[in-house]
Amino acid sequence: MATFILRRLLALIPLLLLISFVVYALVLIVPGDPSYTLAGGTKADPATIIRIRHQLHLDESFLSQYWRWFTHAIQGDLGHPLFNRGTVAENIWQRFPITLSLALGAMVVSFLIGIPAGILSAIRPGTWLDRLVTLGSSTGIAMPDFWVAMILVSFFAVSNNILPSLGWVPISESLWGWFEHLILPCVALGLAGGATLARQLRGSLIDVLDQDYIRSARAMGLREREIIGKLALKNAAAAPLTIAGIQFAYLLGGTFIIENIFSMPGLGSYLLSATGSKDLPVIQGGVLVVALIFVLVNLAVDIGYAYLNPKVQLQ
Amino acid sequence: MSADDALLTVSGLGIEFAGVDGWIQVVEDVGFSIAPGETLGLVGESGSGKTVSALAVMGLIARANGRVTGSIRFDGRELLELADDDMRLVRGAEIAMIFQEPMTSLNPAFTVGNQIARAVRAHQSVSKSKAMARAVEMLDLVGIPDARRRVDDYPHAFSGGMRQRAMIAMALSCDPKLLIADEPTTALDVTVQAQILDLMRSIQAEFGTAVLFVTHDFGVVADICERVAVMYAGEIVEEAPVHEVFVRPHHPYSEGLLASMPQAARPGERLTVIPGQVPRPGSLPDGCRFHPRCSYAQPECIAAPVPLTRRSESGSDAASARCVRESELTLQGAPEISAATAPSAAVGAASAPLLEVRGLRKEFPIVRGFLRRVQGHVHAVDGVDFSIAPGETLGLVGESGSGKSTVARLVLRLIEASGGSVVFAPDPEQAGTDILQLGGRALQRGRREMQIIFQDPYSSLDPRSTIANAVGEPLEIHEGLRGKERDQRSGDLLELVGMGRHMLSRYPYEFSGGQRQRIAVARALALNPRLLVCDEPVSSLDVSTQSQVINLLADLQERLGLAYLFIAHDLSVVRHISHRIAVMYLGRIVEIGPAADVAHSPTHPYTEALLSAIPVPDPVRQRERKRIVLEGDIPSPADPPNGCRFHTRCPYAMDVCALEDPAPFETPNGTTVWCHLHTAGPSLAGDTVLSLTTTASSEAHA
Repeated sequence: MATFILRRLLALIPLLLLISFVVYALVLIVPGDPSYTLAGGTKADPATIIRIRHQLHLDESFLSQYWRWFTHAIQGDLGHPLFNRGTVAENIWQRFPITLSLALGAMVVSFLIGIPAGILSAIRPGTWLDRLVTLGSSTGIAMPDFWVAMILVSFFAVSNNILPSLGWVPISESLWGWFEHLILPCVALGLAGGATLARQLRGSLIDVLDQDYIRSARAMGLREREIIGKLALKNAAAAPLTIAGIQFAYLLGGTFIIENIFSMPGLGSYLLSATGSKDLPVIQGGVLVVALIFVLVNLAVDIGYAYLNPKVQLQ
Repeated sequence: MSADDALLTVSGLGIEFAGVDGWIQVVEDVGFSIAPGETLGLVGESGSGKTVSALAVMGLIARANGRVTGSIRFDGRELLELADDDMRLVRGAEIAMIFQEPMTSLNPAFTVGNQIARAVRAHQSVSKSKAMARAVEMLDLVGIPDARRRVDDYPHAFSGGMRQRAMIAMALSCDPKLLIADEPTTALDVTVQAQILDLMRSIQAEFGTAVLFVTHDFGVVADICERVAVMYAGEIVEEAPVHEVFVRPHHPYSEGLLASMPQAARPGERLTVIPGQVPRPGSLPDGCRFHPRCSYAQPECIAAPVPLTRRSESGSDAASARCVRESELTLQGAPEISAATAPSAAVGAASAPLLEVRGLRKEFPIVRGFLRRVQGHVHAVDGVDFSIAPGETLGLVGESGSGKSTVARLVLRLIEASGGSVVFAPDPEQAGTDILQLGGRALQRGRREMQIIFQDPYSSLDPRSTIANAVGEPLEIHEGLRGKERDQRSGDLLELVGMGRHMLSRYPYEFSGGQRQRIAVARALALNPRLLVCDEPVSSLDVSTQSQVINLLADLQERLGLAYLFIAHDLSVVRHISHRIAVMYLGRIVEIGPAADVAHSPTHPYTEALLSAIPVPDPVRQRERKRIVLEGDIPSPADPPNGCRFHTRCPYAMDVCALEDPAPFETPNGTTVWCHLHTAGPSLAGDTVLSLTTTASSEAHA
């Protein structure tokens, strides 16, 4: 297993190089010239633009710009934002815990909903419980997260004032405050994932429960709890694991709507505003961080596969 | 026997399953009993209800869609009255079960040891390490070499035979009183089957476990069972001690099953068949359920359901049959095994070969690692030579992994060969062409006259396409026939294989396995081929349908002058239909010669072992005869042994065998054999290997 993980880690190096290159190449895709905006837009004086272009190294060749950015980036220096103070790395580092808490919280919600619902409907296919789960998961997938968020806010925060609907408290300040502020956004974000997970798990678990080795386990008089909870679940977990991996990576990059609704200063909203102002160093740094996490999550999913299916390690 | 002595007494067992239109009865009034330590064979074709009856004893019929009625008494308790939790405690601890498919019966995500330990801990309150120790002990008992290390392997590291051993180890881990074995050897090679049957016999002798042995194979029954219950269409039609059934069966179905075994037929003669097929539950015939297929049927058979009549009640002699004409009929037992009689006709030996294969090789690369580098080769086929004359059948036999199916695909160029030549000469007036050198259109034309039929008739026909399309497709592609014209020809083809042209508009699911295989043959014949490659065409069929398809192939050969390359793992089928037989082991042919000689006086030790592993359908002879049980499994073709590839398992291996490749040796009978015994050893020099065995055993007696 250790060599398997090491091999996979080594395989990441070329991938990360490629990603960093593509991320930096965003410069070429994004229309407009930031030096023009910085110099004052329509009132810009051509000499100032040239000076700013030189300051930002925009007058160098693309490859040398990339090389400069890359050598800094691997040392953790992602440069300075064009329109804000501090460094890009600092800004991202400050906002990252918020987005990570949201994404992790949403995953916990997805698991808490998806796993029990998937198992319950798979062991009694065709019953009223199964139909209820199927109906519930269709509804869950169909509801957009921002809409769920509004409903939750209007019920729990506005009408009944049970939970806070705005802001964010760092875990270092107050554990309960942190938790309390996360509940509504995480439920809103995790509901659809839970519904997808339930469906996927139901399908693969029904297939697995029909396999010969489950019949063998029953014939040996194993308890149903052990058969479903251990023997079947380990075999059925691969497809839901993939879904969960994609879901998690998506959450890390795609939480900005929820962050906006709940006024949370997370990575998503930071990147969104940077895109609006064409703040390239921020966009590049942010996208690089999100891509890095995507890759790491995929690695974790691959390791998960190898644990679930011992044959994977041989290949 | 009285009910009290018996370990298991099943009576009046009925099983129904939920169907679209209500409950369908699949088993009715089934009764049998097993004494402690006894082995009862439950025999029947697929659809007879034997497996569901066994599952009912285990309490494994799901209540949601199955209903079990009657009585199952085990060791003084009524199992059908037990609560689910109490029944769970019986399963595994008192009654254990092993299944047909060892490849899928173990959980791929857990180690073998873990699975056995779980079974132990489900019934005994022992620590995990104690349970693991028990797993090692059991694996050792069932003959897994190096059990202490192998216990931590996952099932994919075990071969089929080893997995079945592991299943047996798991089943016996809690010392059950009764072991139910559901076709435990059907998916295994004959040599491995012989190992597993030996293992079961020795375990039974040691622990006194009673066995309910579910099988379709009368050879296996003769080998291991003491009493037999024959099932047909959800009923028991005959129950008797094994000798009685084989010598004088009391039900026409038992007689038919015994007669249709390929071992029973004389070479060159047609196989005996039971006409028709097993009726589907829900549409059973009136009266005796067997009467539509029975040659002794009379009006009285149709009048009313036939009860089971007992001839003898006492103990292990209990005998009964479900036939109204039982007392007036004298039925035939298993026929004498025909020794080499009819010399296989040398078909077209003089004429130019239709197919000439020389030095055929196929290597599959093994790619490993991050960079997908080729790290070695699997030598699936390693220098194979043979030829087939027009109208001749060459049988190609070998265990799984011998490369025989790869040869079939190479000959048709369904996969690309790594080397060699395949010269096909459909027109005797012209020189043949090397199929391996053709390309594009020329290949398409060259292949027209060679066709293939596959093992699995269920997956080789497109389920969404009508029979007219399936059979007519080659006519469309190669001859451009459309519509009426195409259907006219397709209809002719169906009639050629003994089916009606009205079936053209039907879909594959409406047909049984045997019928589908006929359709596959019709499709293969559409372009008037000269050569038909048959890749295990009857292995997935029931005994009675198997004979029907073999007879059809023999008839077609006679009428159309077809040549066959007939591939099978079952030597008894091959020896019946073939003029010559080639035996393959690890990618090479070890012996090739006239069918009668190869099958009755083998000159290669591997052929001898294969023959010896086939159970003889005669309980007395099967138990007395000396058998050669090969040790272990066939080695990996990725790393074949040096010298003679068989030397690692050969009972007569000499020093030279591990060093040098044997040279071909031609015997006076015209058999070519690759074995040092003929060239370097005690000089068999063309004599059969059987002579070695007899000298060895007479020396042992002296």
